[in-house]
Amino acid sequence: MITKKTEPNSEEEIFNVMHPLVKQWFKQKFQKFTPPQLYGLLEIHSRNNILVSASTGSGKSLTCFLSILNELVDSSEKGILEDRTYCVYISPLKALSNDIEVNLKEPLKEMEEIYGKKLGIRIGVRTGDTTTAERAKMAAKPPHILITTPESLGILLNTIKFKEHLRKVDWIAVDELHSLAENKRGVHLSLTLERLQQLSPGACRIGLSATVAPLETVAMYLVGNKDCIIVDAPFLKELDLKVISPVKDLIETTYDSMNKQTYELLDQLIQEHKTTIIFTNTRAGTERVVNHLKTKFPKNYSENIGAHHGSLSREHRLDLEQKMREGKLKVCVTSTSLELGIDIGYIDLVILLGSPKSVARAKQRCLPYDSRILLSDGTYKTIGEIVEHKLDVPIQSYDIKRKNFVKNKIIDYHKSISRQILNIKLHSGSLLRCTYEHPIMTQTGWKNASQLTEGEYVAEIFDLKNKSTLYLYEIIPKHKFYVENQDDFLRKIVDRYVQKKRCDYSGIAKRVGIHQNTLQNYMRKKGRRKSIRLDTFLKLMKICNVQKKQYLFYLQEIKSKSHHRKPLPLKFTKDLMWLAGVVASDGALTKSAYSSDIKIKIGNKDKRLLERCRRIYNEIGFYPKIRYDKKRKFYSLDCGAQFVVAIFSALGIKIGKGKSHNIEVSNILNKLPKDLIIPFIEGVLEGDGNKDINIRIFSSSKKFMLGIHNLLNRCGIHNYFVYQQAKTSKVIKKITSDEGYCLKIGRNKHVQEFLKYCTLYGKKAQFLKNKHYNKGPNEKDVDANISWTKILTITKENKKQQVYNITLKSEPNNYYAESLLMHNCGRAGHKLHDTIKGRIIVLDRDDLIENAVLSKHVVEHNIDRIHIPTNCLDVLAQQIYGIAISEQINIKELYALIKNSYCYQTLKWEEFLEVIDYLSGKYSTLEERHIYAKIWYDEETGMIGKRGKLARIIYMTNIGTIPDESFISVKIGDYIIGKIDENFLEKLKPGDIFVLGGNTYQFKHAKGMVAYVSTAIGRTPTVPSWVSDMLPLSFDLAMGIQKFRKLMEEKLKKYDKEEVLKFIQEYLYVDLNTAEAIFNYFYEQYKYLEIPHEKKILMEHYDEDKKKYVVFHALYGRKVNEVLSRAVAYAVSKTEKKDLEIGVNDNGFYLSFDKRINVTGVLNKIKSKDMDKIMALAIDKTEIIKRRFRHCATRALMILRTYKGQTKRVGRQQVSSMILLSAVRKISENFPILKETRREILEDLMDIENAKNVMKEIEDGKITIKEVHTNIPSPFAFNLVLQGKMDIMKADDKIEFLKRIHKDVMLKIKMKGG
Amino acid sequence: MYIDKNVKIIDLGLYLEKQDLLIVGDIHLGYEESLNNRGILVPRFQYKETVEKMKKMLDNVKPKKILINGDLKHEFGSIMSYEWKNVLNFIDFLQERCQELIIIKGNHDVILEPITKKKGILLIPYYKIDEYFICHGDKIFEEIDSKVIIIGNEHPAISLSKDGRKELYKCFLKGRYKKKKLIIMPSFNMLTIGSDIFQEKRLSPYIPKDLSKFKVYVAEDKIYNFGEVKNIKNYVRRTV
Repeated sequence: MITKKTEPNSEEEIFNVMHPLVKQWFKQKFQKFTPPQLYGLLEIHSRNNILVSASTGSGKSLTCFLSILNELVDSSEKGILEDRTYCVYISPLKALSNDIEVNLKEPLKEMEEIYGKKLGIRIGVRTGDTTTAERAKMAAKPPHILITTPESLGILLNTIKFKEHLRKVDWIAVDELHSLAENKRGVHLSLTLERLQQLSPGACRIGLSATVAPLETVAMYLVGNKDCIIVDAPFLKELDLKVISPVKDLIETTYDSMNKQTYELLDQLIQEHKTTIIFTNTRAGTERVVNHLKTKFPKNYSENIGAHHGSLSREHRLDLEQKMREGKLKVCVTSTSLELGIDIGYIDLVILLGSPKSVARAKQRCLPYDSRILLSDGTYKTIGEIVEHKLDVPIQSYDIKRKNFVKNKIIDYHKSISRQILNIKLHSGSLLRCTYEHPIMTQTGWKNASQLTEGEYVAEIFDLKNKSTLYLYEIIPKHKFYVENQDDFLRKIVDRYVQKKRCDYSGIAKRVGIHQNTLQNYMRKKGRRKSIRLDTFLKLMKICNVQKKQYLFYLQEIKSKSHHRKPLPLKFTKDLMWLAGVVASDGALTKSAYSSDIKIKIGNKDKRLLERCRRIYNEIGFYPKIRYDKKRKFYSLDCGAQFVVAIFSALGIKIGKGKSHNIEVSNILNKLPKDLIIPFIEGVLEGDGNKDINIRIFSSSKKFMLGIHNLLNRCGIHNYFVYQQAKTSKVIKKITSDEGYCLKIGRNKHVQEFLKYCTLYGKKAQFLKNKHYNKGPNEKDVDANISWTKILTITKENKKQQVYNITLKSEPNNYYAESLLMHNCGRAGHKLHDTIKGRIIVLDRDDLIENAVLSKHVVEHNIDRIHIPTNCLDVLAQQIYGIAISEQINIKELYALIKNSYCYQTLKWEEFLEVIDYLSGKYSTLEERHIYAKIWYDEETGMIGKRGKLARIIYMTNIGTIPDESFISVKIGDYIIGKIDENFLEKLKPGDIFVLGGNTYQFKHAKGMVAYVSTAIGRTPTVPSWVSDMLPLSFDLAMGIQKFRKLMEEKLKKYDKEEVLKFIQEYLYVDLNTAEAIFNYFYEQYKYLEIPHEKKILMEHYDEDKKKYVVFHALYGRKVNEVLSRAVAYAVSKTEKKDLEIGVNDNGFYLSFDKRINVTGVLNKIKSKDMDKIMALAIDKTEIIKRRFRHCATRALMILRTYKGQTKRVGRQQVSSMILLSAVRKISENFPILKETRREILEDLMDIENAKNVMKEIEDGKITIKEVHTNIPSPFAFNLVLQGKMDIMKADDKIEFLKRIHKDVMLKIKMKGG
Repeated sequence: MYIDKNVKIIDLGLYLEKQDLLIVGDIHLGYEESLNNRGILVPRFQYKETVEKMKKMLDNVKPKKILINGDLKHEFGSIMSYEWKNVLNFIDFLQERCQELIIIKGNHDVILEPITKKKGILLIPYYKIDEYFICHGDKIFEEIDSKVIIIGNEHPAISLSKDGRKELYKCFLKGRYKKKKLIIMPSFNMLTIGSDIFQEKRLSPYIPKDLSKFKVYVAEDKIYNFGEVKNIKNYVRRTV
């Protein structure tokens, strides 16, 4: 049974089963378990079959290794570690296994360091690259953890010596399961797993997979008919995905300019980032991009660019991977071999050339724009501002282990769109808004925001020891104040500078930005200008290289207009802060009615308080008077000191009316140390405080109260924030507004701490000073630098908005948002980003739509379903051969073993017997059987065994399911100019222009493995190679586009351009420019013809020269269209006796012929139930079967790639396979390998299932067919006709074809003669 | 169908009427075996089909003499090979059906001599009869004074294409070599068709670069005379 695990284990549960050494190592290395680990570790520990689905970088591999290392370390320490393989770890790529070796050996080394001696745990990698010496060593002393590939494992199972080490395996782990499951390698592996399980019946299976759908099917693939637990822990990378076009207009651009601009764009993107990976879809494409970048930008790319693909040598690949880890590589271009998410290097940009054709899942761990991030100087900046302007500000991080604050640096900025934000309201009053996946520090460790519950405690900043000091002149508006020019200071300075540098005064004046005369005036001791403007003064000091301490003295004489005699303080003083606090609560800054001057007003009933204030003014040279309002029995003190006004407003006190509502705590205040902050709060307390029960401070400004709350926390003074309805509150009757906020310092310890820093000028502070009491809860909620605060409510906010995040340079990888500690997105430093910037470069308009819909699917987490091939007879033949080599086995037992695999669950006994017959050479005569039979099968006893001396070596050298890559040589005459991929050749038709090595060629014809071309200098290619090399569009994504087309048709009918544009932007999450491009494309189609969509297939007839075309607008992806097109062509050729040309792409297909023939209603004539029959006949009449037969015959070992020490070229294989195909057909049209070829074409290469579904919908009238005639192809048909892949549906056999041509020729000769 | 006066195309062979001589060439017996030896496990149908086709031809013309114009056997592996039996059987079969069997040595016939000696058959480099000079075609013989040269070796085939479809057919070619008539025979091999004379490098030194004056006779279920190459220029693509 397949079950989903819905509850994670707790950390304690996991730690309980951990060996102390492993525990210690883990705690030193990590802060907490990742979700896959929380869900998976114990299951693996208990040896349950498990499928872990999570993204790369989520600690998936460690989930697997941690449990296993735990066991091995335990056994090692107890001295009971056996010489056998405990874990077989299968990874699909050679490159990947190298990476895992690094990731596994490192922890082991670190554990050994803690342990102080070697643990004796061996880790071995066995791939095709392993040398003979290494193999022998492994066979003698087996690795405890064996890392291998599916093929190498297949070989190991047939190695007499090594097989013995695999008899008691505990764990079989398969990495990147999703990538294996969907092809024949996976089918092969599924049987290998059963074979291994047979050897080690007790082994449990662990599958590690990226996000795929449906997980249940993948789990069944992993375990066959056993039980399995699924862990779906989408702890995912965020993908900041954008679709970009290299040119503005994808239609009116020549190939050359498109090419040029594509590379320029590539270069620009690469240069803007640290390390880039470019994915192309083919190896040829990979080489091409590297080559072009090198030749077009020789300065930028030389040693720092590399191509990575499977056919490169081992040294080359390892070297490249090493370079990436070390960050020496600027850009890596790859086809697919890196695609499986190797954690190498520091990659911050991924470029996809053309469309990736399948949805990658992405999630976000971000904050909205206005979330304030704590900087290391104690101040805040909103994350939006930091990211938008890429501010290089120091960030405050918190080292949880050492419990102290650490300064951190930002190294990257991220921005994306989120639809869902959580609002987390805290008991302390703070409100945090973040995405679901954002990790937040809780009392039980890091948790994703979505996992938080109400009532849980989260970490708030506490006791931040801020020591920075500020000079007052730094915070006042410098152009409004003047410095007194005393002691001829300026003249001395400037003269000395002029002498030293031998420059003239006018130069200095110019640099300061004043006239030379003005400068002279300043310098004159008793001239007109005795004082100089503060900003000019500072500029002058800077130019003349005067140290701060030399001129600080003069800054004591800063003035606005009025002159004063006493020196001003250079820095904040306790007195000033206290005064500011009083002003903040009981005062105001008001504008004078007559001038622009601002007055500081303080009003209170307590005269003594005002007197204290006046004294402070006096001390710095201001002399205001206290007035008394008899009516209100109220004292007031007004002061016009602009200097003080400037300072107070810098602290956050607002000018004008509504001060009490708008007041907030400014960043300047945040920067100050504790002994200045507390006098300020003391001042506030004197004004708006209450001394009766503990310390209480009130305000009607929430911002201000939260700021003070935060300030107190940062001073290490525990306090509560309370929201109060003023009218109902007993304690705050004074406040007249409806809403009020209150702060309470309740605990004696903290009250005392507060008083320690007070000035005690006011009577409230003095009152508290004299009161002694001992009460308050014990402080469980206060840790060294953390105050645990309760979550009050969590609410969801569904609104599309920009969200932001940053990457930090080093550990600890966290920061404070508002006052809360949260984990940062991504790993710090030189690791893979959690946010990867993805840039898809589109090369045509269909690409644009496709990618926009793809991005939508990514954002909305729609995942493509995978297709797992089943009952593959070729792979089956190979595996039975392997089994027969290693043992004699009864046929019934063998059948049962095979049926354990998910891929063969439905295998019929007859089909199985057909394969046995094939393998035992039953198709040949008895005397020739020794040549063909691979196994013997005794029908009486039912036993099967190997045959022939060479059997083992043949098996070992020919195992595998990946067909040989075939490159076609491209020749002009006898001269080879390059190579192209076999699949690319399949798409070329004579006359096509294509690009190779930067030049354009015209394809003439192909013979065997050679393509003959002629030069076509300067001509526009008809087959853009990037596009034609593409993977097929998935059916699910195709349906997404179909749906969008339908919506667009509705919108275009109903609304004007503006509204449609709005719709596109909202639906596809694209910007206006992209929306406009999409709109234009649809509008052209809409106006010219009409829009085909999910409920309507258009059949568009048009003529070109002598050729007639029928374009079927059937957007179902190429895999489905390959089927539909051939079924239709077959039906047409049946009645019309004509050869038809077929063009297929993701968006539809076309048929082409030279005479008008009747295709009307053809789609309605084909019945979905007849599709299997029709298609079996149809593909026999096409070219595809020849090539695919070679692949299948090679897998079934009918063609041996390596035989008697010689390896055949693909060309030879292909030529021979044609002979083989016709021979096999003479034996039976149902020969198992031929049958498998058809199945592979129809089910794996094409998608007959979905094609049948489409036909059914047509039958049921759910899809309507509409036929239209055009003079030139409609916009949607344009690309299809341009790039369509060619195949021919043959209407008759070879001799009929010859007769027709002969007749034609004879007729012509006769006409000439006559 | 007559390809020349006195020279009739019989299936894949040529029959010289006056001389009562049937010529076939490039049978390449054992082609499957050689594929097997290279790891391509093609089941064996060749011998059976070759004999059947031969029977049909012999039933049709009943010649006095049969001439094999080179490359009877594809490749000689071990002398013990099972395929040897086939070669011997084939020679026996032919000898039964005619009065004289002549075998010209082809470039593949490296160690054919022991057998021919055993069977009392002369293995010769070329055969001259009246105005006909018959040789395998892999090398030039100086001072040929015959009017008509008949060669094999080339395995000529022609690919005809129309509307994107392309098919390859065995064919006879007739043209001139140094003012002499030249007839090129297709291979009698059942497994392969041959090489496209317009697209592949030519093997035989007798064949000139310019084939435009050559006449094409496609041999399938019957013989299709296309006349000169120019007639079919719209149906073939040339690279050579």
